[in-house]
Amino acid sequence: MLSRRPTEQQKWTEERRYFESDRRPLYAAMYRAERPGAPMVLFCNSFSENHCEGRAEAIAARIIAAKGYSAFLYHPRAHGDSAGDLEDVTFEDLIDDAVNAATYARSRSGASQIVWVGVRFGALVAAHAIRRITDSTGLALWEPVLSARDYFLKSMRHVMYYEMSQGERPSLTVDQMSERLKREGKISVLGFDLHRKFFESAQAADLLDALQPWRGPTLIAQFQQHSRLSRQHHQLRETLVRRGLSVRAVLHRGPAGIDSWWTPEGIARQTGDWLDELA
Amino acid sequence: MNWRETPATLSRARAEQPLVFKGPKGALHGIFTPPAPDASPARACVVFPGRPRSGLRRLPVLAARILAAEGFAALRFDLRGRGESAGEVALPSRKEPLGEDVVAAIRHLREAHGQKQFLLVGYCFDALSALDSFKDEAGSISGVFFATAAVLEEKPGGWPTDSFARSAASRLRSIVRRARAPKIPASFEIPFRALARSHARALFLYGEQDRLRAEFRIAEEVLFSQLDSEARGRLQIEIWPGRIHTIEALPAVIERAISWLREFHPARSERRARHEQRRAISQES
Repeated sequence: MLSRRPTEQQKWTEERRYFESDRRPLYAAMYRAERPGAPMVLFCNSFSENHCEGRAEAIAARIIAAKGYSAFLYHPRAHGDSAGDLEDVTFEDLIDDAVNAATYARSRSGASQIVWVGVRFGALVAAHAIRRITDSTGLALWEPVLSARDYFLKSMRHVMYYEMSQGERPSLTVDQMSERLKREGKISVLGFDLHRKFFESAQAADLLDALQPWRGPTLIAQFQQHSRLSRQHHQLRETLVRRGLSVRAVLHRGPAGIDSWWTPEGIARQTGDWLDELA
Repeated sequence: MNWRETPATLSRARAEQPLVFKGPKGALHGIFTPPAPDASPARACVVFPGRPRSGLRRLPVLAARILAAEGFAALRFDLRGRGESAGEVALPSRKEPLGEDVVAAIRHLREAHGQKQFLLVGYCFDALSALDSFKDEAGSISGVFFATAAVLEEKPGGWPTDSFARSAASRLRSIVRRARAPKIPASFEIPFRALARSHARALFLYGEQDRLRAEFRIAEEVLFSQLDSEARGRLQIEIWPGRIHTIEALPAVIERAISWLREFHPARSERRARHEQRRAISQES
């Protein structure tokens, strides 16, 4: 499916199709721009349900394409419109899908360089995949998850908050959920099932560990609405700077009371400006 | 229900086609799943409007592939302002369903994919949007699965969420409003009456313990009670114990949608007719 879009700055086309990863069809959308020699911007989305973030990526991809950078979005296996069962997925599978997406995106676009955008849990995936793709020239971390284990525990806490918001007593504590995951092989977290196989494969994943070999320019985009960088993002930036990396941090500025993922335009523009500076 | 991928559903995933079609507020994006060529044709296309189209737990994705493996065509698409579709994101409004988007999908499927008969599936606000399309496309819709949507003009008892921030005047207004008789908005009544006049079947599904059940009782009293026996026979109501307007209940709701949609498959109707014929013969003998 191909359609041409007029833009204020540059023309781009949108193309949607499936590509193969590990003998499975994965859904992808390519926003193809025409700036010669520009890198391809590849989005690694978050784990499982990511409705707001998914829309944010689509909006951002169009803004970035309008600046002349081709952008590529895909759904990893067992996510969105792609094939696969969540029950079978491991963290390594998500990295394989990211690597296959990068290879496919480059072949379709003709771009040789890749700039990765890791969105929340996708930051962990991108940080691991980036080592396997030569000519990775930049890394943008959008509200990155720093530790997979912390992310899972936070998802479990959200179940408790949700139950309390419904006027109910939490049915299980985080410890009890962890125990059930170990014993029964899966638990229901809000909107998705967390499977033991995935939990065990991913729980040791740590962003700073994964980025040990990374020396390229890095952007940290904070979506949580604060006037300054959160403590965790600040520590991430400081650690990366100490390693000698060039790090830019940008904050979401948007209307209060609205989930900041619904208004990603500012972050997308700042990501585009950062791309211009890399050129 | 086993939601795991099978060779048949994987084959449908491989056949899927991303679609873009014109909606009233810009391009709408979706995925068309063609029916399995080796399945007995159902001669109907199931439409899942979504926010976004993959829904919670990807249930519309899995349901579309299961039904396509059995001979149905299926489309899941992003309503305006959601997923990849154009438009401003807005909170769903019980008085402003997006039936025009569903109508745009139906017309595109008819013109570009040769589909003639449609079955609609909606949960919550998506159900209102599906029903809303009866205003313009009642003749081409064979059935609508309508799960747990709001049917009154406003939430009974007012809106407690912002009560701390409200002024005394607005609280007073709210008290007066609460004292008023609950009202079914035209945005529900008009498409409901179009459904009643059509030949389409419907299944209205609610949970006994959901707050929305109380709203639906008003619709039963005000609208369903006026239906003639033919229409009342077509418009089925199911009330489940407990709650269904929850994330955890959603798989059971979509499973029910699948089982209900299967009743529209001509092969099933033929099987049922043959079975009844055999039973009649055996009773006669």
